[in-house]
Amino acid sequence: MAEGSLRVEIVDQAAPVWSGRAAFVTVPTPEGSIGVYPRHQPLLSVLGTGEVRVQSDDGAWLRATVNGGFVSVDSDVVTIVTDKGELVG
Amino acid sequence: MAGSQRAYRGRISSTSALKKIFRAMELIAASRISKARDAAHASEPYTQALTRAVSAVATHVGTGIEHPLLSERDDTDQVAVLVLTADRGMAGAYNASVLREAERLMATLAGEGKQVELFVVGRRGIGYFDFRRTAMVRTWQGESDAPTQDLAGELADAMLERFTASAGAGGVREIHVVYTHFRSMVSQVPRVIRMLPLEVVEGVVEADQLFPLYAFEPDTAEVLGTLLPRYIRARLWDCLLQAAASELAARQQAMHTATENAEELIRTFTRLANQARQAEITQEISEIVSGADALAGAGH
Repeated sequence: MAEGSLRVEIVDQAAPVWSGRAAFVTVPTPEGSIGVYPRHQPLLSVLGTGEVRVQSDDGAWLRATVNGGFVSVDSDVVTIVTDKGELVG
Repeated sequence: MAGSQRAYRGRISSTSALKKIFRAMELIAASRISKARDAAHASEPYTQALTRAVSAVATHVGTGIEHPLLSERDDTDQVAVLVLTADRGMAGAYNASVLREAERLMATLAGEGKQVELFVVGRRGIGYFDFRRTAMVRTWQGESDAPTQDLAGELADAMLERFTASAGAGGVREIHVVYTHFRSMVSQVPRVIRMLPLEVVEGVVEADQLFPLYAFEPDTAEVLGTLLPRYIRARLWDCLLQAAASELAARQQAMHTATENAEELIRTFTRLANQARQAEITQEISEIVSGADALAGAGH
């Protein structure tokens, strides 16, 4: 996998919301938020309600609202599983 | 004689009207199957991600894993059985076979000294148990062939509520689900699964797949608490979709057979009607001939 690249998948109960490459991701948790850069340690966390922000390799931001669920980070694959997710903008 | 001809014509026209209905139902069922399949396909990534995460937690924490949804309880003899049936018949043996499976399961459970609490989805199942005066705790109807996420949520909430309730408040020690597994368009098999308590080793993840040492945020218990109810819900959703696809496939098949049978009947009745018409003509001719003969004989 190319240095500095995450594979992000956002899935919701009904359908996949978004997937693609990213340089940096922040996800909301009940206690704040977690930022994930490439080569992050494997993580399994509860998801809060709020906004997932994904910065793609060229610096553009993509935002999506999420509502509960969990996020897993494993060998640069970030899987965000939420009850109800929607892209913003 | 003219009477039998008319009777055949009448039966031909009513059979062809029925045939049109069968045909339409076959086509409707066929088009809805693809919808059910699409829905199953769309929710696949979600279910997969969940299953992976649950397996990861399970392997990570090992056998010392503790959560109410995973532990066997023995403070009560009540068990819940959820039966997924169709809202309508006209689907061949679909309802009959899933209900037979449910009866078998209930007999087994009763044999083990457990008291069964019934939860039924689908008008057909409700009618069946109503007729036999079997008490049902809760029923759902109206969307067996096109289930919604809301229904899956309601089912999951009801099941979890029962399972986590104390023995005095209607708690149950096990939850079984009877549904029809969609193997292919021509083969659907009724299946029983024990939903709760969860058996963590699901065999969905390949044996050689190793999970990394995850960090849990905020902690293992919290993560499990988030994962498991969603996992149950996703599995129920899967059961609902399987049942819906099976119902539609069974209905399509049954209606296809019905259409063919109607065609066969129409053919038979057409032949009989033709035969009756021919017999009438023959009779008329012989009457005319014998009448003419009689007149000719009288003239001499």
